Amino acid sequence: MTSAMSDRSLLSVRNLRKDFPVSSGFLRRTSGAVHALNGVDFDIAAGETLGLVGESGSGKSTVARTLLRLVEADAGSAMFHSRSLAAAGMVSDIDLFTVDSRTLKHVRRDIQIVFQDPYSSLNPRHSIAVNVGEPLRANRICGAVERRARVAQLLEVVGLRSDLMQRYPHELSGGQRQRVAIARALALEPDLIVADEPVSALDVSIQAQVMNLLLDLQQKRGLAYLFIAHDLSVVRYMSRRIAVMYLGRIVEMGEANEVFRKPRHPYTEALIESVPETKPRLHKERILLQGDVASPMRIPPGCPFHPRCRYAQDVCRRELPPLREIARGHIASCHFAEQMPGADRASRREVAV
Amino acid sequence: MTALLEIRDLKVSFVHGKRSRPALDGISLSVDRGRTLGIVGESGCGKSLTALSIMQLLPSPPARIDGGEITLTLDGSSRDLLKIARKEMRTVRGREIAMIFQDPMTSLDPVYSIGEQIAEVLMTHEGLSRPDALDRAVKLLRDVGISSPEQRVRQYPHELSGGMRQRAMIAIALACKPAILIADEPTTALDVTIQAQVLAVMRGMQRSLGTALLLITHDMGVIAEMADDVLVMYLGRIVERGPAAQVLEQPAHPYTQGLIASLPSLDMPHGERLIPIQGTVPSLAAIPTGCRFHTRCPHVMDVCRREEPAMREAAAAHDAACWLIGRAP
Repeated sequence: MTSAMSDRSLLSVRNLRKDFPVSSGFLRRTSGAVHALNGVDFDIAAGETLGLVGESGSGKSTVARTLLRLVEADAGSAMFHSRSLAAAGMVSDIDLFTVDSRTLKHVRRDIQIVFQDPYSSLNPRHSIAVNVGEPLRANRICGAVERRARVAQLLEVVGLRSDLMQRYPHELSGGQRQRVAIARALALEPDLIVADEPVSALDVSIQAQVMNLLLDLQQKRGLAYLFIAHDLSVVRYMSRRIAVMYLGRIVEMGEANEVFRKPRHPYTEALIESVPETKPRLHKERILLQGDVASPMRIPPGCPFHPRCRYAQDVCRRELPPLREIARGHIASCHFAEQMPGADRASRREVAV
Repeated sequence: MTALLEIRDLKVSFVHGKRSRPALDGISLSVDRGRTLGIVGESGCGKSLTALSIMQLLPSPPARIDGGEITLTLDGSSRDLLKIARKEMRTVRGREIAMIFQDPMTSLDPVYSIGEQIAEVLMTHEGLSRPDALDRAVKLLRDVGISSPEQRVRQYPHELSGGMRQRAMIAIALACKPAILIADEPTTALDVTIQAQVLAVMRGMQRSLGTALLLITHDMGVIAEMADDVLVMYLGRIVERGPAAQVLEQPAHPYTQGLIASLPSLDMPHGERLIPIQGTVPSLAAIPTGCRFHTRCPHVMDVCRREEPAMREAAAAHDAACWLIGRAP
């Protein structure tokens, strides 16, 4: 399903902001703040995947956590169309950030999260059956007998044998545990799964298996994903549309094909160039990005990327470039987005060969 | 000419009470000056164990070396690292063979400044005085691309970013200009832009010092970028070896083929599917009979279940342990 097919967004996030206060000294006075999110806007349509990519400290996990209300956003809105609320005859379009806790309980059925490390999100003292069945029990969906049957079915859906039900998380491999976490996320038949680095801890062969599983589930169930990862190739594989984050802002967003072929932000370009090429003969003469990501406590003035940018001009040090449309459905926040060389990877490589 | 480092038929097992489980089963490899040997494989295949065996840092018990030789040849004289005294091994470690790990935070000491930690190596192995050692530390930090090294040398590990800590580790490892650097997943914990910087530093240092690099990674991209030769390991055995370019472009072993087919690439058209290897790596307690990979192999034949294949030549200097090699297709 493409975004064009649905005229309405499943999730629509506007001006999302989050600061984490930092205290220091003997009296633990607030001395500053980590500016984790500085105005983030994006939409996800039903059945679509938005890939969110960025380096550590870019704020991508904070986006996930605010959506689930695991941390509270400071400002902004997240309009969500909730199927459960509609089924209960309540107002179905709500702002996730302001909705009251009783309504939120309903909405939680529609949005689920899968974390990087399933070992820390599964209860080690409960069997797989109890772990996967927990959302069904907590939401009083069905009784114990039916729950068992549903859990067995869910395990089958994620490609696990149902005899694993009696096992405990420590008895499973990393890949199996991640499948269990996905089964649990599916238990309430959500419309949106927020997946925060779901395959980063897995070995390559298992990583490919789990990614294919997520793609199959999407096709069969019309799930939408907010797929967060630091690995560009992984995000590329999973998503039709991607957003690139840097220091708490989306700096570029568009169709993955477009963004990777013609990056319009120097940071995206640098990310793409940093990915090691697996075909040794295609080694590129790469331009390395200088320096580290700036601290989110002291975000550089002007364009936050300017200290590392090879194209930086005076204006970049003074003015924050707005996020604007460069081509149809392709937005970037760079003063010089139009002048980016944007030579596509393929042609650059031919030169390298 | 003898290789700088040569491992022959190394066998290591894990002992639990009366049971023992083979973790490395006949590993042979060699590295030469100025060359980079990459070792790839998934978790549990024995990559790190091989490195720890060379350094004599195996956790023992439960690990036990059952046989083999690890020969280090410097200035024409050879020593078997498995036979030399502990004290002698201490001078080999750090001075002749250095190692860096995935997570620099656990290998750096949080209560000493970066400068003190580099200086310690120089004072121990090279007998430098403290002020001289600290001067050298500043120079080393500059060499690995750390800006304002005069300030950084006084900072503590927690004050540095992940990329800078890994550079500091490289500075410590290279302080005594070791003949061999073993890097175990050196960039796995780093962001891609920082990974590219750290790999460039390692390449530069290797070029200027002629260090041999034993690079352990699960990342085929890093191998392609850095390695001259590559070994692919599976369940404690080497299943394929050869020049990196050759192995990555024409993998001969179905396991290597599967690893490469499992990798998403930026150039893949959207909608094209990866073909992952089926199943998971079996545990050491249940190593399959015959070829260890047969339970997951798409080309499995009867002979694979019965007999373990030996290494055979797939192309010049390129070997793999698979019954398919040399067979008419």
